[in-house]
Amino acid sequence: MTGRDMGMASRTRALSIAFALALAVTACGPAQQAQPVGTAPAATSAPTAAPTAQPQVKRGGTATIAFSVDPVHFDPHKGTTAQNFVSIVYDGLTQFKTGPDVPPGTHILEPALAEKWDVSPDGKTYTFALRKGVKFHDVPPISGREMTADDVVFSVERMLAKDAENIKRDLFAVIDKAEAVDKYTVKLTLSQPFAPLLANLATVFAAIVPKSEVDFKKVAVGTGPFVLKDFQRQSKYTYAKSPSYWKNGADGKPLPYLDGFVQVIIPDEGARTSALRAGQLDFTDLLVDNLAQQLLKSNDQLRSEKFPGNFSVMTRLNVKEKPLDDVRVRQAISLAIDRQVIANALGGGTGIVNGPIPTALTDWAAPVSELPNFKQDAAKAKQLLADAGYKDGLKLTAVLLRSPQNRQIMLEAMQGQLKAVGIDLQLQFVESADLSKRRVDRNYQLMGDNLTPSAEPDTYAYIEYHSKSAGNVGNYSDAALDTLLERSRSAADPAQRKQVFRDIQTKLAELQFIITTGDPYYHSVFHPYVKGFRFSFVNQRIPVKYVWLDK
Amino acid sequence: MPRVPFALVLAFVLLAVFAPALTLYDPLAQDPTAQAKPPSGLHPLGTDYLGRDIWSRVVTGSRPSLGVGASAMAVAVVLGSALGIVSGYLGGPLDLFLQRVVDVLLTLPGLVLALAMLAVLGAGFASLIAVIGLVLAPGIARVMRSATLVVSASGYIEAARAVGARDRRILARHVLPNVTATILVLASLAIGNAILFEAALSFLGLGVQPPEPSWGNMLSGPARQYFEVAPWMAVFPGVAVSLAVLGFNLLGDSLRDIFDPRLQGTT
Repeated sequence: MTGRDMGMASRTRALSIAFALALAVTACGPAQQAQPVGTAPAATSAPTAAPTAQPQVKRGGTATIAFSVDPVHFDPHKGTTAQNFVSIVYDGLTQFKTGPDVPPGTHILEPALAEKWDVSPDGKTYTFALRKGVKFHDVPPISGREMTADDVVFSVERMLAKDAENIKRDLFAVIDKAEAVDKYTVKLTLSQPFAPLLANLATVFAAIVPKSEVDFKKVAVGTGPFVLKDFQRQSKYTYAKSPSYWKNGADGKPLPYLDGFVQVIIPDEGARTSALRAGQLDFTDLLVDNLAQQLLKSNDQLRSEKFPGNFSVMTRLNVKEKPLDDVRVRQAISLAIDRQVIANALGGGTGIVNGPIPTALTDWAAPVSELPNFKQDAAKAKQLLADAGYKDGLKLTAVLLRSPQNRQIMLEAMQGQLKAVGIDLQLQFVESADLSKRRVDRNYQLMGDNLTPSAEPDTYAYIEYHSKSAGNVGNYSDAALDTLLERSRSAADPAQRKQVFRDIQTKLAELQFIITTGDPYYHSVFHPYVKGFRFSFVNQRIPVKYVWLDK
Repeated sequence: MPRVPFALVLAFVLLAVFAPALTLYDPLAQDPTAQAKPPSGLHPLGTDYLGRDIWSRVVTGSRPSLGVGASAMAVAVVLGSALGIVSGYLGGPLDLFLQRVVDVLLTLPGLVLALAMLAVLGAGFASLIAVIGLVLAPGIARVMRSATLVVSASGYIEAARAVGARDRRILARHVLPNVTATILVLASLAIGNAILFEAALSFLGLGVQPPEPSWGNMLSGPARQYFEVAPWMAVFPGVAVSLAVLGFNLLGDSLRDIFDPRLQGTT
């Protein structure tokens, strides 16, 4: 390395530290609220339909949206990356409120297929009173019969099946028994009190499916607002309005407002913006900030809403073997990286740093500025590496997929930042089948990945880290952490639960099993005639049932 | 006349040779204060999504591109010429067999063939050079065979045979010198193709691996997400590939003109 390079590197580091400090100041609590979460910047503000304006909703029409990935199957209980795709076909017992009047980050639980529920005083028995007259879609082999307690019991047992593909099983694993008390009553008995149960039941992984042999590779049958009519893989999915949806709209008639809904698959982000501009799409969501800004600049008709991502692009560390079994090495990695730079690279200039629980979960996230090991400190990182016996540096290998590109951006940035403390990070691109196998076999050293978005912190905590969780694919095991995670599930009092999650996040920041980095700001962009669309991470369901077209 | 192609090729060769002196920054150094910035005085070709200087990366990327290009060309030319000359000179069943093998290889699209071979061999410089060389060799073999057929039928070969020269001596002393011009032309065309192949394979992720820059991998990955907002990330490596390939192809054309006796005196 030449003298000039050294000078350059130290100057870069000094600048990046200064930059990180400046951002750390602006990224803490109050400033975060100043950043309009979910509300659009004034210039591009959408005339979002306020509840009072809704009586004039217009019915009919078909809306088209683009997605980047194809769903492998339509089975809600076996999570895939494209799960949110077909989720408009299904309902759960509970759901989070969505729609134009719910800002992202607000999570209000409301009844869905269960009209109401009772929880026993010991917190171990939940009795759900089902909504009467809810019909499954008129799709073979079901043909529109009524949804009853038997279907719910069947679905719960299906969710709990000890099947390697049921990777979200631990969201519900505390359910001991599901019984149909009568046609419209279901009783769930838990092995222990479990605070996140109702929220977990609102995820798409707890969708109610008919008690029947359904080949979810070919059909999707649920009780949701839309019926999957036709699809061509890697190309187009066509939905028609369900004629018998159980929820009424603002005009007193059943939702949804749209007659039909089309999802087209366009993997390339540039092509998606072009299609939107050309009017081939009515709206798009999850468009990265810089692309959205450019699109809005070139077209003053389009409207947008901006919100922070909660995928938290991250690197999993497999702690089974040396050197990552040593907490000092993991802390050194965390201290060596500049998360704001990574977040900015992900979002094309702007981005949000996320800790173990993403900032978008406003009720639960601990401010990153208060977590240990989150502020870049190369000197301390070097010291920790030296203490751990890696004074002369070490070599690590990360596996990643080529697409989505956010993993490459994160790991390339980390590569440069880790080099400064003597860690040589190699990138190894693998195919998605290979990656899935490596995940199941826990055969990797580092893995570029992102977290599963959810409204419930349990997904980000217990599922990923508990030593007995099926979702723990990095051999993580820490007795104190396990105790905290178990307490987070049994604590019934919200304030107490909040405190437990604060402790969990502090503990995780010390342990650094998963190096979380950050997220871009995303935009939903739509044509001005699209009303009632508000992106929501919750439920992993796209709230299209409230969308109507003013044209 | 051939001044432009020579100058272009020379410029790229100098760029690759003196790359470390021509870079303004470490091509891997990330500048968090200058992420995705357009061309400016500080960064003449702008910066990429991690604040790395595009000029320094394009300059450094010329080394794998030209290096792999030249090495793969050498593999292709040695292999292709040897097969073509032997096949054309000896004829008979060996010729028939070798040409059917060449036929099979020529029917497969080059990129598909290269992808299949790389999937087996794995990414890396050595496999990249071997694979591109193997993909380009059949075309060269075919042309070299016809050039050899023409030479073999000449009177001086017959004369050499008549005085009892062995095949090996005839090939080395009489055939090879007379097909050298063809080899040179093919070589300069092959290097252009090899550069293009390297870029394509790196673009597809099977060539030079990040963070090391190459023209191909600078065009792919995150640069695509940024293409609409920061086109300089992809445009400049793209221009570099185009100019280098153009240079070598024009050079090939010029060499052909120079060596072709029928064109001599026409300019």
